[in-house]
Amino acid sequence: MVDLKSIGPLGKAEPFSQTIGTIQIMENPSYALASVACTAGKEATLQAAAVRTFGFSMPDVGQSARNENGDWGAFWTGPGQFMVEAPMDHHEDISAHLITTFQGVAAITEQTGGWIRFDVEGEDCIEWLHRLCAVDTGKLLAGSAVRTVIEHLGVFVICDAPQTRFRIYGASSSAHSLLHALTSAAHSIARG
Amino acid sequence: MKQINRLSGGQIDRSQTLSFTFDGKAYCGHPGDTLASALLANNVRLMGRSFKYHRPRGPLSAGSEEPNALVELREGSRQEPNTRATTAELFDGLVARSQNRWPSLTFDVMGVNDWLSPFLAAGFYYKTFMWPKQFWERLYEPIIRRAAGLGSLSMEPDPDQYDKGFLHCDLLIIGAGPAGLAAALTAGRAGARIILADEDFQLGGRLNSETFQLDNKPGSQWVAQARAELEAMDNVRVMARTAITGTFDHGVYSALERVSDHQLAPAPGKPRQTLWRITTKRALLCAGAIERAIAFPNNDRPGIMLASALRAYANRYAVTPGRCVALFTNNDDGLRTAKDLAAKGVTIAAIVDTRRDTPALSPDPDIRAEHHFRGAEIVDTRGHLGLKSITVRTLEGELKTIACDALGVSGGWNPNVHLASHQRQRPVWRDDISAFVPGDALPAGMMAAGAAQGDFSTQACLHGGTQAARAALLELGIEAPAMPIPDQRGEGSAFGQSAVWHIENGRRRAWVDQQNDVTVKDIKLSHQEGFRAVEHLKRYTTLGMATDQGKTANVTGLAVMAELTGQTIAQTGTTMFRPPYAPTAIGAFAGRHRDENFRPVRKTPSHKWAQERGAIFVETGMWLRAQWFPRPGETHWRESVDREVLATRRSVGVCDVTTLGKIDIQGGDAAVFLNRVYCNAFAKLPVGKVRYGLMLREDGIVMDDGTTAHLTPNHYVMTTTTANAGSVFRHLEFCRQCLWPDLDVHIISTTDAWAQFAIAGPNARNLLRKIVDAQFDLSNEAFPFMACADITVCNGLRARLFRISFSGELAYELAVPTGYGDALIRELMAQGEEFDVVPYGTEALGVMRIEKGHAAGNELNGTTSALNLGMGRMVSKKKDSIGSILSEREGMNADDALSLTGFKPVDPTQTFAAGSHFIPMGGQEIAHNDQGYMTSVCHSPTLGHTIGLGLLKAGSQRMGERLLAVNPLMGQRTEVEVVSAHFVDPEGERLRG
Amino acid sequence: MIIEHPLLGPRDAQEFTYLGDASMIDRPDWQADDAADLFYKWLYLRDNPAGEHRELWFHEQGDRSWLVVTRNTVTHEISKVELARDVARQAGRSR
Repeated sequence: MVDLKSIGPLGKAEPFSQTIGTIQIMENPSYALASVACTAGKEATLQAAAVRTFGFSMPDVGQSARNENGDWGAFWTGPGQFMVEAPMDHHEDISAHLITTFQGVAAITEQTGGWIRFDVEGEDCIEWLHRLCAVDTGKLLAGSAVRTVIEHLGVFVICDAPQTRFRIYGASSSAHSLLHALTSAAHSIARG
Repeated sequence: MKQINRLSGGQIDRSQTLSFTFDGKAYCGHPGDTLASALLANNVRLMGRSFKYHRPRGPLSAGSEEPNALVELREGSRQEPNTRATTAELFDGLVARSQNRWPSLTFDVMGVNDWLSPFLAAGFYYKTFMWPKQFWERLYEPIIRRAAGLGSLSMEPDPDQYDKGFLHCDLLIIGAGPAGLAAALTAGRAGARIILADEDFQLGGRLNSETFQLDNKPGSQWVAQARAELEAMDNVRVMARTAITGTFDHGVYSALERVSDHQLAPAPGKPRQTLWRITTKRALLCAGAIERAIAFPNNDRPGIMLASALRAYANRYAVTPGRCVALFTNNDDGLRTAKDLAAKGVTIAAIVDTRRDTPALSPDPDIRAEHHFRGAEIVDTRGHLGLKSITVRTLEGELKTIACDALGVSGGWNPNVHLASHQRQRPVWRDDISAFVPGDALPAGMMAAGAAQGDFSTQACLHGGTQAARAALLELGIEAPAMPIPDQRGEGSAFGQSAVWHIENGRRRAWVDQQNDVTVKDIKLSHQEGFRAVEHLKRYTTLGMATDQGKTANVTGLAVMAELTGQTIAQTGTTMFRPPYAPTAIGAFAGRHRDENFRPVRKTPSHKWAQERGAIFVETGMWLRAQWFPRPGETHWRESVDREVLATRRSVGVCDVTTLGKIDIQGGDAAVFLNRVYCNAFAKLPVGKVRYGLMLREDGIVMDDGTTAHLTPNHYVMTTTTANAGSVFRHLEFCRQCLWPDLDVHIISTTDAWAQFAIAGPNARNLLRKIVDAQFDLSNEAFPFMACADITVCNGLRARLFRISFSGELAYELAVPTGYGDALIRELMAQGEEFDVVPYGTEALGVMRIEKGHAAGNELNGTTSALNLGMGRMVSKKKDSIGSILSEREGMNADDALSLTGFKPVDPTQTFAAGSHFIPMGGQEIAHNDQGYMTSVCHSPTLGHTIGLGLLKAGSQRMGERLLAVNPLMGQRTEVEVVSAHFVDPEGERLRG
Repeated sequence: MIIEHPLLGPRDAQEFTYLGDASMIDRPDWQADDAADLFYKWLYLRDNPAGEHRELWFHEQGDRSWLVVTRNTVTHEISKVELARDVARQAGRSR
């Protein structure tokens, strides 16, 4: 057992959670992340390995995927590039695991500490996103994954349920600035 | 006070009464009022003083084109100058003040300017304050500055929040008058995604201000039904109080929504205003038209208004500025005002029509005027603080004075072409309506309809809006059925107009631009002095340069100029239109980016811990880094920094270096790739080794430097400087995608994924031994200088260890997953206690690298080559690498090229500053004698005196030479000696030990 | 500005950074006899057309693709957007 204790990007042991108006913003620290970059010409082998290990093919351009019991998920980040996530509890060693899975067909880079993930839910999600990013989020279908800018910060916006449920991944070092943007936009649309 | 000027009807809510004050006096109004309409209801016509002559002024208009009625709203930090009373929505508790007057609005000392007006004509400042030259800064400018400006600022920070946002739609409809509403209903019913925006708090545009009926209902009632229908549609976003302020490339529009301006203060957490960026597929300009005045002598007295404004006040706000009103018109539309006011019981003292043969609408049995002059004109007016009478010159040349307390003026209508012209499009002149309309070349994706297009009748607006919406949607593949056009009664269709722009009467002044006090005489002067092109006219006279951008003045101004030059108005043309359409608060542009959120901040993994230690932070790019760690009793930063340096060199110090860019480079061709992007050899770096890499630009100038570690076969980690992390990544992707697209290499940024600490000093290894798990051998033999490895620390935590040194000491950099960074720094401090470990900040880091002679940002300044930095021999000529070819150019390899050397003061008690230039001993401080410049300077606690690094011509061959380091800015001249840049441990024994 | 990304569709210009003339792709052969001259011309001599211009944009806050955007410098109209990697390959660039 490691002697050191990990803390989240916001500097707290407990993950952030707040409901503002109808918008519920929850930091989700329970996923380990790694990026997968496919070697040119090995796409088929990569897909076969993905189906075998995760139960799904790597997602298409601008898409995300997740297996049934939710222990593996992935989203498209660029041509031939993906982010893969798995529960921290049993996959903190996600990179080592993927290096074995994709031996010889992809380059794996550990990303767990590099990101903060917020799960956001609420009926006013689109109004809220209107105040954050230039993407036409009202048109996103379930599974859409978009990399864009919020408050000058690079983020991934992933739609889990159209209009109402989204994930936002931002760089861990600027987690405080991102959170400020998310909460102040929620305050500005909260009714009453 | 009673609202003695209230009429019947209108769209105000009489069931509620709102209290407000103007210049300290209490008044009442109703919801639905603007500040201007409420003041007029209370018989207040005088609302401001003009900019230059301090002439008493009242509102000219009832909308956002208002030049005169500018007031200060609210108090304390929310005080806002130059707000148009004609658009400020009335709310309970509103506090408003007039501006640009002293001591009071009715008695203004600066009114003396009006008497001095013969001296203050256009160009006055340019001509008068030329001589003597030195008087400008000392005398003229301060005086002019004091006299200039309208309102005053609170000088306190704005307490309100502003928001920004992004919207998307198929069709943006700009303006919700008859054309906009018809377009919105047509497109909305067809299911298209539309946004309907109007700057007014009421939708409907002129339909609120006219008495015509649509489908046997009052226009306002038809509007209310349309609004209700639109608001019930999911695919329609109705945005009242939202001005579209700019047209940008590719169908992008800016909009300012006044979210809370109609309230005393925004609700907690709510923005005052929101600045929207709207991305559209198509846009429809239904911005309507603005009536223009006629420039006649003394046409600027309170009570003189646009005829359409009188009508709007009467029909929409149930207000008249006076009980005895005259009309001055050159067209039929002006006559409507007489009709509507008469219907509300207002006396029409006179109708002065410039046309001899008034067609169509008149004589109308409904228009009852005491006098009806045809072919006549107004040649003067009286009434200092408000209109008392007008003087009419009849067709026969007779002068008649007629008492009245308000005058409506109609000089025709100008389509609102502003937004159609934001991308250099020029509007075109139409003789039949004597007005500019949007030309054929509109911004991509835009169409215009209704009055904005020159179709002035309600029927034509409804029809045009529907048809334009259908055409726009058809281009998007959406078929929209035409909306049934409502039956319309009472308007008539004729629009007979004679083009009358201004009226002469001796030396009396006739105002064209009331806000900037530009008169017909000023335009003549501009013409006389050769400023005849419209852009020159504008700048010489300031015509149209006020906050209203000349919405009621420009066309009249250039018509006057056209007359003078003998050109047509079409030939004269318009000035350039630019965003924003309406004044926009700077706060709205800033949005949420203010104070501590001015820009995003990146924090290092040890930030929280450093804060607890009382660290002083410095911004490096977006990062906040610990600059030094003061200890109790230390009063000067140098004390802390010197201590940190000495303690590190004596035992061990720890520094957070997470901010260095970290880029994962992987793939079968990773080594080939590195070998090409670094100028030095990288092809054969073995696994487990780190190498210093120098990256050039193609022109041979150094781009960045750092170390790259070969962790496992085909897997490297590159570090970049903190400042260049983003640009190096971009450059590498350029090389990978554009230059060598088939190399098997991947580039993944991983800066934020790892917390990295430098552990430096003679006890660095001893400290690390207590952290690194026992199975990893840290001995010099097993893990020598420039070694690297994947290891574990603190009982199994995955980590990376690099034996590299920036300080010149025995040093390592240890990386762990970011989440563990906080725990690791605490552990290092705890375990290091026995070695008196110190944390050190960027300042000590900088001192140690200067002592060691390492180049950093000051030296990698975008002008230096590898040769300049003493690394010329590193540039391999045996391979293809970025920058290698052009770094061989003759000019970059001259014998006297600058080279990096060390400098110390000859007298160790003396000091010098970075930026000093080197001059030969006894030489003059002139550019000709310049031998180079000092790049980095610090006090070396190790040596006890100032040291510096600098770029000196042929510096490497001039060891021991003495020069002057001169800094004329600080009056510094220091005798320095050229020495090796390696002040500490030149042989490098410590870092290899 | 809106750039029609070949993979991702219309994206706001704030996600992109600009480099310049797409001729930067045509990096000369370092082993050519007149390499110094070729590199000099490639790096420094550029057309500055009032009209269609092919230029490099980087989708930095997106999928990190380099794009070749054909843009009219007078009207800002964008007539074509390609992946720079494809353009480079078509131009014969490989390894």
